[in-house]
Amino acid sequence: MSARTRIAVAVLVTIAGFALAAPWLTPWAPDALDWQHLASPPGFDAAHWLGTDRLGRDLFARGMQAIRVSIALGVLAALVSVIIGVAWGATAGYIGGRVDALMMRFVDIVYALPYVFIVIILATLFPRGSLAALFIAIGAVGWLTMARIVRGQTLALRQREFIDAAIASGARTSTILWRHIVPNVIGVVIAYATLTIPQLILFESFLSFLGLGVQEPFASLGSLINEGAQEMESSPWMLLVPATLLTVLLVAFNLLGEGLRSARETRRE
Amino acid sequence: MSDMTPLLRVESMSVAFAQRKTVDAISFGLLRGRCLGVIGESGAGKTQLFLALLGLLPPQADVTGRAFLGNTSLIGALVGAGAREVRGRRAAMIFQDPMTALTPHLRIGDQVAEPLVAHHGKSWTEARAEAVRLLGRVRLTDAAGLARRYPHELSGGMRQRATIAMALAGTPELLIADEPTTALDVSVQTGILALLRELVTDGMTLAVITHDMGVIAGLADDVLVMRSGKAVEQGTVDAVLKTPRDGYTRALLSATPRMDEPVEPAPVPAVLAESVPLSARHVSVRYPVPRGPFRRAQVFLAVDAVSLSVAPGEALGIVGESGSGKSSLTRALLRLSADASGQIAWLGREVHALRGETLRALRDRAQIVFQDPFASLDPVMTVAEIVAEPLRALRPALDAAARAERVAQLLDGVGLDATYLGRRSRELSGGQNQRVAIARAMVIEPQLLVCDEAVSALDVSVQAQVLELLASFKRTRGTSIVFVSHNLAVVRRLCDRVLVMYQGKVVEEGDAAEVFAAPRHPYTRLLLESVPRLDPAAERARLAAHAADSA
Amino acid sequence: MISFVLRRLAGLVPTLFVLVTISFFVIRLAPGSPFDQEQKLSPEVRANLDAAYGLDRPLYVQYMRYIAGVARGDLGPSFRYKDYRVTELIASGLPLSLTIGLAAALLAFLVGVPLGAWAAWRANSLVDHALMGFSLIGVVLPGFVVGPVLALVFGIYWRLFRIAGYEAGDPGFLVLPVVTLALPVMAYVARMTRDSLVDVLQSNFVRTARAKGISPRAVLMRHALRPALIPVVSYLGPAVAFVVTGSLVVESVFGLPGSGRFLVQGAIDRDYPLVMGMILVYGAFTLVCNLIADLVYRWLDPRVRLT
Repeated sequence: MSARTRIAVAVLVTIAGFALAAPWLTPWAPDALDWQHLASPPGFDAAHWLGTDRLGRDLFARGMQAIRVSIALGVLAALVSVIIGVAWGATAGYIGGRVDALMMRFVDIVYALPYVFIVIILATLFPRGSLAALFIAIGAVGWLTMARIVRGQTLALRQREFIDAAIASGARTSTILWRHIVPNVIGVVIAYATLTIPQLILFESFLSFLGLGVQEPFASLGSLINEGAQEMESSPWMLLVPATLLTVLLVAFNLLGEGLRSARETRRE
Repeated sequence: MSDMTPLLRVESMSVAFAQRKTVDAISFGLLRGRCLGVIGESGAGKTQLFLALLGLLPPQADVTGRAFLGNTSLIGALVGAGAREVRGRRAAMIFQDPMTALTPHLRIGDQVAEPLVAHHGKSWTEARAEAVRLLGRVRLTDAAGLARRYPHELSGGMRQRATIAMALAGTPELLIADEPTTALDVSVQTGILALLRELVTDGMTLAVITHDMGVIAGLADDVLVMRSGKAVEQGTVDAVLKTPRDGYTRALLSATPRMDEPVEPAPVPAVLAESVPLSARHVSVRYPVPRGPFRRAQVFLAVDAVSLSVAPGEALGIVGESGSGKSSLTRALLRLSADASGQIAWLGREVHALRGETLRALRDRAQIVFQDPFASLDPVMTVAEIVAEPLRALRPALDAAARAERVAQLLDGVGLDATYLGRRSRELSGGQNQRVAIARAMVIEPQLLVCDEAVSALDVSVQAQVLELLASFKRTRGTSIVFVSHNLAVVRRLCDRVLVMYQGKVVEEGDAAEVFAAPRHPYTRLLLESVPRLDPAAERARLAAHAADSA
Repeated sequence: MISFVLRRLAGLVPTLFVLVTISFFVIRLAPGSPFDQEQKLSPEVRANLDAAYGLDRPLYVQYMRYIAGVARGDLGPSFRYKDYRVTELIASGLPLSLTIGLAAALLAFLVGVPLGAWAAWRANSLVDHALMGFSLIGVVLPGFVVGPVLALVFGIYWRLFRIAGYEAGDPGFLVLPVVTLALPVMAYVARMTRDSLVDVLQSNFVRTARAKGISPRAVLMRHALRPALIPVVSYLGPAVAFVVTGSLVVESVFGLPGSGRFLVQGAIDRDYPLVMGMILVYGAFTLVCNLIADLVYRWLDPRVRLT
């Protein structure tokens, strides 16, 4: 593992650690209102290390909660998109022909639509504030690229001679899929799944920013940023704290995914 | 036309990457107007040597020693503009694969004209006109029309001639050709070799890098034999080819199949099987060629009503160039493609209409070894798993221990010991991988083994070992072999009968000895004439005759 | 060549048709009606409203009327903004959105490609690592984070650009929004260019070009650049589309009266014709952008020319 990947993993583990341990680290609950410290900047008095917002809520507690929500959503949604994407892509790739053409045409059309449309259409379909609906919606968007990648890999694999060799050796189709195709595809899937997580976290933040995502009293990094942007002139930390947290989180996930991807590529030399 | 001062002088030159030497203290001289042939197998360092001379290696390469082109020092002194003065202007290099060596989005004429603009200060108009003349010089017809085309519109042979024209554009003193004919069809190779020979006769100094003894015989005046970066033997071509001193050179020469080597008579098969291992009648393979969404697809006939049969213990060779349909035929014979029609039977059982489980169960009768040793092995599986796969699929009665024993037996039979069991294909060489592929094919003791260009990607010495292995299967187990190859000498060494294919049809068939000694069909004659002779005098005569023919 | 373009343009019509149809029915699936946001209406008033806007007719009739209207160039009345036709609303904001979007796309490519090429030429050096580091951050930061931060730094602390009280015709307002919008695309383009060029520089034909002894600049510009740009161009279509539609974020953050807000607000308000109109206009724009990208791609690679 390269140095960059190691740093990424370390950062992620640290953040996750803080996020999970937050309830024990800080005396403040995420929705507790501290009337004496409304919109106060980061400091050490009253244990408001990252400051408070307009309503007196501790930003550290809220920020950590937001991270928990964001990571959970990102990972779950990535899982959903992996499952749908791999099933779709592998089927299209292995069966080929008309079925493949049809399945990928569908992916192409949805892919061509700017994601904004998807957001809007989904926003109108689900009642506001439904967390489950939210993460299904996000996962439903994320599977497209995964499907394309898996289909591309499956297609390329199917034409490789070792598949022909397996057929000539008398292996059944199910055996070939299980013992040859899946092990060769799984490396790519894991690498891209790790890259999908930050994209999905970003997407969720975008939805929250628009007011369509996580609702009160829960916070997500997107909704915190939205609030912070409104108070930007008077309390810049309200924007900078969630913005920094989001950036660090996304960069770390991206580095990890990139690291996995290049590790696979160098192994193949 | 020789001058006594060497044009190219190399003294104790080495190339190392992170302490590992790819070229180890090589010294030689090349006189003007002569051709030096550098021969060795893969990994010998031949290409590295010349890339280092031209300064084309990456910066991590550590090049030591001395080398001179005329009076110019080539090592350590070439930087920037000085290097570019040598490259293309005084020494030009042409590379192995003409398709990837030419820039895809630039016209041929422009690419040939480029050195003229860069080195001779000509304007583009003048350079383009000169480029057309050069294309004619390398015997390309309709040079003006060709100059306006793109690389992908030309055939392999035409592209290689264009790269030669491009190299000549800078009017170099030294021309370096790296495996100039390896990527080309046999019938096209002669033309390129003849052209290069002509250039030497006209005064060009040429260095040819190759793994093929035939190319050495035809082009080289002097020979340098390389192995693992070291110079193993040097001398004139007659001396090295006829009276080699070094053991490695001798081994290379004996491993190279020759058209004039003695052939053993077809043996009586040791095992008599009740039925013919392979019988095929009127097999045709058609591919649909799509012509856009609204037009009916055209049909391309890759194989046209071919019939053949193989007797027990017999080796049948199928000879043809690219486009002959031989690969499509082998896939059809093994029932690996769906586009075939005709009757095919394995050991008397008709299989052309079978599908699914019924077909699968019969697969222990016929097995195949493919050309590319890396592509035919699953990269994530270990050698043990790969060789065991046919047993798992077709001998379910065997338990894990019995399978393991059988796998070990087979690996031993192909010359690989137990340490190979846990390795994966990327850790092994081409030759080792191909042996694994053969072990996999033979583990269920098929009556028929089909080899599709199975030795074409291997070094000459490894090739000889694999051929011997196949011959031993034929002799001791009575396995029938169908051996597909474009290399006639290899086919002659192994096979009893031979089939010649051209554009999907069988144009000649018969006993190998007879067909090669007295071919009847013009195409067979063409193929035989294109095989390089290993005697320098004979080979030069052949090339000269070819040049005279096409002048 | 012309016939090829015309054929592809004609092919856009059915796709748009499908797009509009799907959106039409999907939007109406959403619970709620355009008039829910107002105070509770009595059933008669509600019925009158429904009739006035044609909502009492069966769905397929509404659909036909809508398509007929589109063919005439009339995108219907807005349900929310009474007295306004959808066409007027969109037209009021579209020029600004398009300006911001196209300026951002242009900036992204004009800066991204050279930066990526520079990083590739000096691969593995400090320049390369630095540029790719910035690229990673740029790709990851969303517009709704960058926008406010830039506004904070350049608008409030350093007072270089104005960020409130938009006045049409004053380009100073547009600098920050355009840069915010361009940043992720620029970062991605730089990365892609760099990776692609590094790849191409290893290829056989570049080695041949070097062996011919031509200048490094000629090797880069004449031989390596065009093939390296092929994947970048494939990204052109989606990039432009992303930028124009994503302008809704910067419009929201910087308070600009573009047409982006109609999309989100329209969906929330269940203002069907407005949302439909936006989808139609932006959909058409996306498809045209993809077509242009395709044409440029074919020009770059002679092997793919005009099938």
